[in-house]
Amino acid sequence: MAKNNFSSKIFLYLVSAVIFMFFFSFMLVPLYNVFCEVTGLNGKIYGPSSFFIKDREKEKDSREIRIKFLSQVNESAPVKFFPSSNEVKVWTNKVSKTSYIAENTTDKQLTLTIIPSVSPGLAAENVKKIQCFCFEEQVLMPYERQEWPVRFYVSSEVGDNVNDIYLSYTLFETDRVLTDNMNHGK
Amino acid sequence: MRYKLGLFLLLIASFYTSADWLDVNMPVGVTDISKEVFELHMAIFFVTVAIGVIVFGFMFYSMWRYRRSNNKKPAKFKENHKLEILWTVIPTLILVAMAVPASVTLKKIYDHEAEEGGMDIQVVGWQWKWQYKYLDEQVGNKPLSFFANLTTPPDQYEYNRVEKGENYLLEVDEEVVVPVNTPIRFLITSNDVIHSWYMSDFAVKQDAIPGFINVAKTTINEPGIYRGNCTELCGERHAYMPIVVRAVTKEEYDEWVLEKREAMEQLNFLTEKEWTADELYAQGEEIYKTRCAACHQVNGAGITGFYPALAGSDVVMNDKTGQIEILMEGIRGSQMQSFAEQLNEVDMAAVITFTRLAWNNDKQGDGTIVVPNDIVDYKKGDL
Amino acid sequence: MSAVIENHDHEHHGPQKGILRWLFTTNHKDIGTLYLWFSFIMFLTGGAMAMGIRAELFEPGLQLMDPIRYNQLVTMHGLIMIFGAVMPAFVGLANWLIPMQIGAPDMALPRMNNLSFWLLPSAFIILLSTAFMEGGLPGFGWTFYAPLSTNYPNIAYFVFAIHVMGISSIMGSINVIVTIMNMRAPGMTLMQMPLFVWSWLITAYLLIAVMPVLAGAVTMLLMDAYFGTSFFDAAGGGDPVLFQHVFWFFGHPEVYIMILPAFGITSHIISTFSRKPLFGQSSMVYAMVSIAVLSFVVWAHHMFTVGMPLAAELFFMWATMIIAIPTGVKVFNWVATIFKGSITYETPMLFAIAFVVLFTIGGLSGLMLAITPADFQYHDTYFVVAHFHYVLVPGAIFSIMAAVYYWLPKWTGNMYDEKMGKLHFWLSFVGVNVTFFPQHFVGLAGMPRRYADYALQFAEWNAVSSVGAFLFGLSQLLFLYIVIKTVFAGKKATAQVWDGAEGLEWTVDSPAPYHTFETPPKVNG
Repeated sequence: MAKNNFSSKIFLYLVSAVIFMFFFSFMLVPLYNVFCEVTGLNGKIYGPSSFFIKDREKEKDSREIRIKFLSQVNESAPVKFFPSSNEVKVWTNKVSKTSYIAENTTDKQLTLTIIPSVSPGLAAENVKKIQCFCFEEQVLMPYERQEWPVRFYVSSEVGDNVNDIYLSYTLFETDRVLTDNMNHGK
Repeated sequence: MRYKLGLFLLLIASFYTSADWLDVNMPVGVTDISKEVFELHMAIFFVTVAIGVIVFGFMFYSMWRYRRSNNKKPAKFKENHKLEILWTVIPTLILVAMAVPASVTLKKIYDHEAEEGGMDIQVVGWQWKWQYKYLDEQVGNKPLSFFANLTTPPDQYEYNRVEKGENYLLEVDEEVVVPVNTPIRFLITSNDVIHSWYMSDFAVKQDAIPGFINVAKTTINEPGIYRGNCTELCGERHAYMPIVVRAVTKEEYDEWVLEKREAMEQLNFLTEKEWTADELYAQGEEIYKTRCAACHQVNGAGITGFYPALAGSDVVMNDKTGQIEILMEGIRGSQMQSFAEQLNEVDMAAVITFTRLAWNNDKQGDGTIVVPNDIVDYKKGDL
Repeated sequence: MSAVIENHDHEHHGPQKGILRWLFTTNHKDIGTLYLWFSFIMFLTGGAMAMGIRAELFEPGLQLMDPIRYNQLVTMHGLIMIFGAVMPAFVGLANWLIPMQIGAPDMALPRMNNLSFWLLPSAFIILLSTAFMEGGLPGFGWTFYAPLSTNYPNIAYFVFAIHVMGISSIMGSINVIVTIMNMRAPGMTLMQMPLFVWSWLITAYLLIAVMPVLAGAVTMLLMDAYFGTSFFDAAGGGDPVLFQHVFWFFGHPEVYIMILPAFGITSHIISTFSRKPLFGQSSMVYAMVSIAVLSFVVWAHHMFTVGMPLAAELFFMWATMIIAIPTGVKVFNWVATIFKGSITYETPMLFAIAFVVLFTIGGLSGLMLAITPADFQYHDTYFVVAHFHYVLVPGAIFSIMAAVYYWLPKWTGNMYDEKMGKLHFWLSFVGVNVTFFPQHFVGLAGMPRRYADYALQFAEWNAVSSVGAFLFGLSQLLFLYIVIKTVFAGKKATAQVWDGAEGLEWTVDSPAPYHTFETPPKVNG
């Protein structure tokens, strides 16, 4: 019977390993996000930053970088969405301003989420946004046109081989309030 | 008799030497990087063949030499440490010898990508077509943009009624025209699910992921027409969204851009023109075949459980505004996309008119047509 | 534990009669038989689907089905072959062989054993039931990448089926580990264990580590589809690429789960028919352990084209290439075992030799795929299809067939028909190569995988491949016939069966009695 006790011990140990691995798979999500933030794996930008130049950033000379703005409307959201200027040249560690224009082409109220993405991914953590419409959901009334400002700067810590940065915004429709009762059926 | 035999042999020979049977290797491609990738591929291929020949050669020799009828008494040895160390170290050295050039080539691809300058084309994967936006060629406040749809007719691929053309499933209505000897950055993303933009001749394969931008840079050395595919399963018509790139000289490219611009300006004129039902019907039928028939079928019957029928549909027969709205906005949560960006006013009016008149819809429904100005009015919110 | 004791009480009664025997059995041999038959039925089902796929691809154009059905076939073929055929077949072999090879009376947890088998058909009934629903079978490939899979209407059934399969595998693995750890015959140290047992011990640990991750991945998918989370939905701040990372964190070890037991089987068979001890028993074990450990750090080589930074691509390329070293050691050890042996070529040996050769071909094309810049060309083309079918069909499946021929006399007490067995081998061998070798060609020439229809330049080799697939598929009916014939008749087998065979399972009678090793055998250290 001594053998049985040992057996249940290893059994319990294996079952807890299974449970741990199940939760580990969920832990992969925050781990992945941290990993992405550190390595710029997927070109994601996380949250707003304030304009603050660290000492070690000051050591590097400011240089000129070309930023191109891209827009993309996904899953057929009925919105016209484009940058007001396609390309700017910015100096590192200097705040720049641009804007995007969004226009609702329907007679319905639309709620929108806009997701930023930076290419090359490794430059993502050096594109710091002070103000951006991507931080929160945006609402457009029927046929409304809005101009959404973006204030950002590129840290001088950006890699030396980075000369062109692509800043892309993808717009998704998250909610639509019908103002008419048309039903298209399937 | 001999003559016939000769002819027969010639036939066999021509059969075996026809290009398709010999089409068994990676294309060399037309960029510096694709050539380098090809050389790398051939090098590792020969290394693996050499490993195979040595290992299998020794194995087959042993199998033959030490068959029981030839060797009654088996040896008894179980291990040999020197030998075991040897066959751990030698493969390691071979792997290092392979990893070094591979890493160098990979670095070259990434360095080329980071190099300054070049033209930018945004590539957007849609279910099931590609959209191209030339970011450096602005028309109004928008980049020059178009969709590339498959032009191979269903008669060739679905019903097999007519002989398949030379570029079967590799032909589109709008080719991506690019200049040669110019670095081109393809900024690849997706509208819906994950696609992958694959051009074998450029050694480029980059996934198109919704919400994210992936970059592939290429510099094409030779003018020509190059064909590629989508390589990430993206749903039903995954096999039907080819890529066709036409590389031309800088002068021809500039000419092409000019033509595109003129065509877009021409559009305003066409919208204003008085259209007859017959004209719209004829133009709409063509658009229907490439844009709509894949799901709603050539006969408008749809596929039960997946795609609704347009023939006999209440909206198509009686609800003009409703139909325009569906085409403009799509149906959320379904495969029905918005065509606001994909079709101009004339094409949209034409295809709507076609569906309202075809398949007896005109006799069962109100039979009204839609003219380009209706679409303009709809966009203003006046319809 | 109590069940073992219970069996002890009924020692002389033998099995129950009729269907109840199979429903309620806790006997490892019965459960092994159930697993093997289940996997064989699934193998024929998945094979019929593969023949449907190859029939459609025989020539360009859509002849037999629309692309929706085609995608469903591709998806179900993958799921059925992996979770229904290969994995259950190995579990079946584990059930039959592990207790007999380590001198144990039964598996450690016999009732759980019964449950883990019966969950499996239930899972496949749930999965296949979607065929009769609106929205149909899943059609997003066995890798079910988000967001394509989140749009699928019957996702809940799919997720539930995967959960049940996962639970079944996890219970099976726990059982294997507990059995091996606790029930070895006195005197048998870990290093003395037969290699099949070793390979399963490692496989079971892999399963315990990664099946919960698969469960987590499908759960997240379900939550995205129904509970408004956005793990993988870019619109809500998620990342579709994250799905691929989680999936392949499961998926790559899964690949080795399907090949490690094959290594064990091949080692036994080659040693038996060479009449020579296996060369480098301990290095075989170390090689398997290092393959298993490495399998956790190479997953992103399935994702070279998703857009990763240079450093990540280099890391995963190098890590993947390192796997070639322990794998190479195994191949060299097998060759060294053959060297200076006294070799005969019965059917199991033919399959095992074919395994070594064709698995190595698949391994070498795997090495090519590891080279990232070249993989930009190979990725998601038929070259990949050819690669993984070379390691799975003449790899995993040939090893299972070899095992069946090798141990069938022990299981049934009858010898199989050697002439028929050899015929089956040669038909399969030719069929497999005619099917999959040309796929290297069309892959290199640029034909993407999961295509219902293709450009004309690929037509010739696809036709060849389809002919081969039908040859291979139909010759498996011969296998069915041989097995059934052996169950009911045939020359009586001795206890030893093969004159070069070594191991505890060959010390019991053929057929193996319903209960074996009631008193543990003594093993000399």
